[in-house]
Amino acid sequence: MTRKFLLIILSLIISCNVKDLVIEDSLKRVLESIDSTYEFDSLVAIIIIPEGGCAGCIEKSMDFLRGHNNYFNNVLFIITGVDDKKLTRLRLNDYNLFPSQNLVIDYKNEVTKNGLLSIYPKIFYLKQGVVENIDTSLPQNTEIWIIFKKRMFNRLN
Amino acid sequence: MILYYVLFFTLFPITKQTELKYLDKVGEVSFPLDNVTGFKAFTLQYWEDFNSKKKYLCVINFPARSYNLKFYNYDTGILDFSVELNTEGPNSTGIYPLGFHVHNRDSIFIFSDREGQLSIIDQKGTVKSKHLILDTSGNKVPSGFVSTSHPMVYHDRKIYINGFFREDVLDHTKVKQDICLNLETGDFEYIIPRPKLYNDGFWGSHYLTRIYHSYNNKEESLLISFGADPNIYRYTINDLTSQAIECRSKYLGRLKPLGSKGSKHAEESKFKYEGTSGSYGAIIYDSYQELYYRIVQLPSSDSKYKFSPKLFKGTSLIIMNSQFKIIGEDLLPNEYDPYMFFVNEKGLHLANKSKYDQDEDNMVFDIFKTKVR
Repeated sequence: MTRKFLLIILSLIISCNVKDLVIEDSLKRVLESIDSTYEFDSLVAIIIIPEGGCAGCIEKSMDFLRGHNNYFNNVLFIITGVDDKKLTRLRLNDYNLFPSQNLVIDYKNEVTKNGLLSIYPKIFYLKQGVVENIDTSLPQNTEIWIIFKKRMFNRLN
Repeated sequence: MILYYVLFFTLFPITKQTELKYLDKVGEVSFPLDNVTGFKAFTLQYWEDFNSKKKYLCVINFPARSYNLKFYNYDTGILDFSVELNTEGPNSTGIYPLGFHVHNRDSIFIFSDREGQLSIIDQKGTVKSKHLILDTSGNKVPSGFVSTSHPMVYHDRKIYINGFFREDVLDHTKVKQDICLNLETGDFEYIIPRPKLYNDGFWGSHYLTRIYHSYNNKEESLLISFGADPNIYRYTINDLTSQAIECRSKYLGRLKPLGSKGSKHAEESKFKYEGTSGSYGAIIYDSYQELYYRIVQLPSSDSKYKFSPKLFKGTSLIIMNSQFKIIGEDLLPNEYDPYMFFVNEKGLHLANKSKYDQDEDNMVFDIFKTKVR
């Protein structure tokens, strides 16, 4: 009986780890596929912002990005869900986001291919290549960017 | 309330390359795009100017730095002129003026769905009159929406506009989802009741809840398509008597609601429901070939579903003759945008996204005629 119980617990632990690994593998694959100079293990956060989805949430994320372009080290913003490359380039130029050391555009929609696209922007908090936490920019989750900034200050300083 | 507008304009089908059985590609036509204009046209209209005898493709692109209604000479493909749409000041046509209908050079109808404002402007952009199509009674009523799939219809000093309606009500058959504005009095009324099937449950917030109309100017009728209904409806525009006509897609199973009436669902599960259900889309009257087309948005399989900018698996097109007999249904290849189309004497024009991806300076339409009549 005890052995069975331990086996169940063990399989649960393994399944949890497998799930986490899937996310990390997906993120790594995305990073390898898009033109990024960052090493996955050195990143402390990856922020994925879709071009389409929750308009208000995306707008807030883009506002945060505009205010914090080239602001953090080891943080990568990925703009994804690109349908019209020309328009994406124009929009980001309008926002004065180029040149940027911490922004990449996922022109090939690698985020979608790896099953990571959501209608909401997401922050993946990382520590030495492991996803510690995922925050989602939901309409009701208005504090997400303040929390992010605080966490980055605590971690980076 | 968060509005999910952005996604509406980025949905493209992902069908595999298929051979068309009923449509024959007979040509293509190209229109130049300037360096600040992308592919997506929110509203398209083919318009013949009876005074100058010129034929135009009229376009408002989205998103845009500024809002311009462009008049391309259809025969030359060259931009003839454009009308700047103001979003502030006395000549404001409202926020996001993306819907339009060109009646003539002095009567161009511009609709801002954000503000429910219909403006009548001339070709210089001067506002001649404005109407607010907003119900302030507090009742649950549809709000107007205009695009290529949801065109404005002008008939006998009245404008007809499709309505969005996502509310939960006791009896949906009492909700009328089209809006008719009397331009002489400024009064508007709701017409065209929703079908009974909307009482079966909660049908999500987007495609399955929509109404689409098209105008047959010869018999003065409105053709109506609802997102969840295999039938279409022919309404005589003057007395609103109606006839239901079955126009079922062979690629869509029986559509079911997401949940019971009044049930609450997360936004992502609503998108999954939309993507894995599929739905009926725009109805198009082709007065040149005497045909009707019904667009069908095809479902992604549930097990393979992952949220993507391409919400649907693909698109098909049901073709009906003038007696509403289905001639056939073709799966459209993935390069076509099912929300960018128009018809003229040369045939059905479908915007080709793949050609734009190869050449961002041009918007190309492939032209189709039916093989079988």
